[in-house]
Amino acid sequence: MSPRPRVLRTLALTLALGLAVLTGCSAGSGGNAAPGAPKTLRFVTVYPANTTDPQLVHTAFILNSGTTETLVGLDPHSLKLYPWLAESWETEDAQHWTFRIRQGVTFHNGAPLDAEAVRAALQHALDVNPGVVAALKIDSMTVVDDHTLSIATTSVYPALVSNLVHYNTVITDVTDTGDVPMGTGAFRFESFDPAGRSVLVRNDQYWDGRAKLDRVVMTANEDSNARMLALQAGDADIIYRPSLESIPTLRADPAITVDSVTGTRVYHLQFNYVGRHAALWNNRDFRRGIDALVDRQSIVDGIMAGQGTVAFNPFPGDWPFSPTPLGRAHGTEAALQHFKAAGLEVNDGKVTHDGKPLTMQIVTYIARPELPLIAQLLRESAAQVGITLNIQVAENIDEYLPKTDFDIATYSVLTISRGDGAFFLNGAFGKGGAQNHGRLADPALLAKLDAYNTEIDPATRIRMIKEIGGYIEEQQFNSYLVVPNETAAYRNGVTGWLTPGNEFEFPMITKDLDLA
Amino acid sequence: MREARPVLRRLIQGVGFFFVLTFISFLIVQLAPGDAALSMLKVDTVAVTEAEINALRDQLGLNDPVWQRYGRFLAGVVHGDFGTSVMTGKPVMTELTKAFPSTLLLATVTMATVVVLTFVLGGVAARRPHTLADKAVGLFCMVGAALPTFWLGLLLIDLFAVRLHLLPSSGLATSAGLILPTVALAVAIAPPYIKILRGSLIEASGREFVRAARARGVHEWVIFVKHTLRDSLIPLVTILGVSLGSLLGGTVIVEITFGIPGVGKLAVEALARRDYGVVQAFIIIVGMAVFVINMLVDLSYRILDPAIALKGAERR
Repeated sequence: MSPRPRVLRTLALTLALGLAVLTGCSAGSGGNAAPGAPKTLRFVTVYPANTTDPQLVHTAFILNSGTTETLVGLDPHSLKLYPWLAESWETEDAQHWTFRIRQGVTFHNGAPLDAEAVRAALQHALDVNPGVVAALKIDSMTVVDDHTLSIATTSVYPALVSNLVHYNTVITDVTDTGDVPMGTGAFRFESFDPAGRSVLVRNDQYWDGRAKLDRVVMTANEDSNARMLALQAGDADIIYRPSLESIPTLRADPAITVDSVTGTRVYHLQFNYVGRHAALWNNRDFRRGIDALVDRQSIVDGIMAGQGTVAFNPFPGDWPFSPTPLGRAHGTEAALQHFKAAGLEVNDGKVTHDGKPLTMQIVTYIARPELPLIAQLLRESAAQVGITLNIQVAENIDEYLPKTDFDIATYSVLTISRGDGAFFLNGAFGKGGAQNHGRLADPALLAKLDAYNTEIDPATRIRMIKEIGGYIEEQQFNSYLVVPNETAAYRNGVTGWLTPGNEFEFPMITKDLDLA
Repeated sequence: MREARPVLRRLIQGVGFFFVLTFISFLIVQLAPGDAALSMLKVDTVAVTEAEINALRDQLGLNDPVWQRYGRFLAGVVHGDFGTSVMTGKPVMTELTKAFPSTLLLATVTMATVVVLTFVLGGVAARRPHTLADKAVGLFCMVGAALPTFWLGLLLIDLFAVRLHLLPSSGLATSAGLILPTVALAVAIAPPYIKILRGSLIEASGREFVRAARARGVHEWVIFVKHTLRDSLIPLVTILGVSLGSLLGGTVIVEITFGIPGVGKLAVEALARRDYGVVQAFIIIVGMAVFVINMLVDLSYRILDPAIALKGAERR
């Protein structure tokens, strides 16, 4: 044999060996090909956990995994609270609460769930997580008996119950020193690698019935293309939040189902009420003029490829707390009328202020790819009436806005959170609220908010949210534009999947999930 | 007293190096994006006020001047306190202490293997230069240096773990788990040492004192061990010392390929998760380890070659 064929053969063998290694490495982790093999579902979500500590984690990965549960749950259909690990709760003054803890529940390590375990879990959350301290405002906790926990808040705080839905308030056995969270859910962690994949196995002792799946391999990938490819290649059974551009491709694939639901966040424009153009932004007609420049339907149809719903106030939709939209006209003519009413000069369809053209700054960010496009759309509309909008892109909007004298900011926030408006209303309109970047301090709105924050009766609270939402729209405090859909895509054969309205408040892996 | 001066000088250099290293790792975190207070308060899901955010910033010391924050950081480092890992919620030192033994074990065993390989193959090649044995050693060096470590690692896993089922593919659950990563690392690291030792031995064997010893009828083995080898050790020890230091931080690829829970793997994961406390600690500990090893290597010259110590004394 001549040397050349030998070299070629060696090269071919090396390549074959390399390919064998690579294919061996990339073999799917799940798969249900063999009859009688465990039913394993592979789920790819967006954001990984940054820690194995469920009371500290920065994402809802652990709650989504169906391994842990909170005292209070949120129904994804009605957005109403329901008793989960707490069977019931009662209070007379919204400051002293009594929670009855569900009986017959055990943690994955076999330890019983009792009032002391709940107290210890919540105490751990308060100790390690200042966000939980701010969310729960707990002053003290007392174990009354095995299944009764008494909680006192630092002040009258009707929002306590809804905040017990927060993913950092999951109840785990914090005395367990193992490497994985010890929850009570329908699945338990077999392995948990925050930087890699986590394997969940069915909890046969689950208090609410046996799960249909045997195993779930759960990973996170922030790259939406990688998630889509994983689904198309058969390496994933369900992916959460495919990119808007990929939805038509996925819909065209007969092996894949795309499920979209109306989300619970609203894309909107925040105005700056204390900046260099404060006089203009504190003028309702000027705000209405800017709002009229936005064609909401074209955002939904063009920018969002139909994956959204037009909004006019912070609580759009058919929820009990949704105000009836006023539905003002939009377009250049309508905008000019508002600007004229605001005292600006309008000549030949162009707006001037004190004889000079208006130049303003709009800040946007790319974490939500649609927001810069909305900023561009508004810039084009504003140019038609002679207003120049300079677009500034921030890396972290919440860090950037407090340091800059902006005029408009594109923003995205959960408005309907944990079945209650307390998070949004206090954050976005409360005095010094973290999301109140425009520093709005409207006395009438603050008075309504104060009344809402101390109202105990749930029905009255709903009526008050509705009224506040209507007032915000009527006053045009900021411009609420569109509710983006939440989407998931899954391979045919997956049953029992429910796409939640957001990723923060619901388990995604449930006992009802199954593979045909 | 004179003997202690080089040590003292090195220690002073060490203190300076420590300050530079800690300041650089401190700056990395300061310049990194992200406001810890906003992140900790979960502002995207919890209603908080600017006052609460500022109070937490005060509590965390984020509003303090840079020099104060650096001072606090330095005090923590001196006491072995690098803060808490955001990845696990446990102290950074606990995480590193858990991971360090695996890396140290791998680095030590690899270095021992490299030394054995170097002496055996370098010695064989030098004793019979330009023979088939020398050429075989040369070929080994060429292939070993050319193969990427991760590729060799994958090949070894495929052959010994997947096909032959002789050794575990990952982890250090048993001591057998150390074999494949050690081989992968040693094969990649050893070639330059073998070449250096071979060259040094051949050069030393032609020196005057070796020829004189041979003329006096001293046994070849004694000449080799006592004169030739000792004379050839200085360049080898220099490069070996440097490598041991960099091995502590350089086992990253192998740790990931073989799923070894060492500091390299921990640092890569920490970087991906922006767990800067762990990254800071990794930079400082590995940096100081490299410095200390280099210092020991420098000082060892004086034992291997007293002429160096004498030259130093003459300069003074």
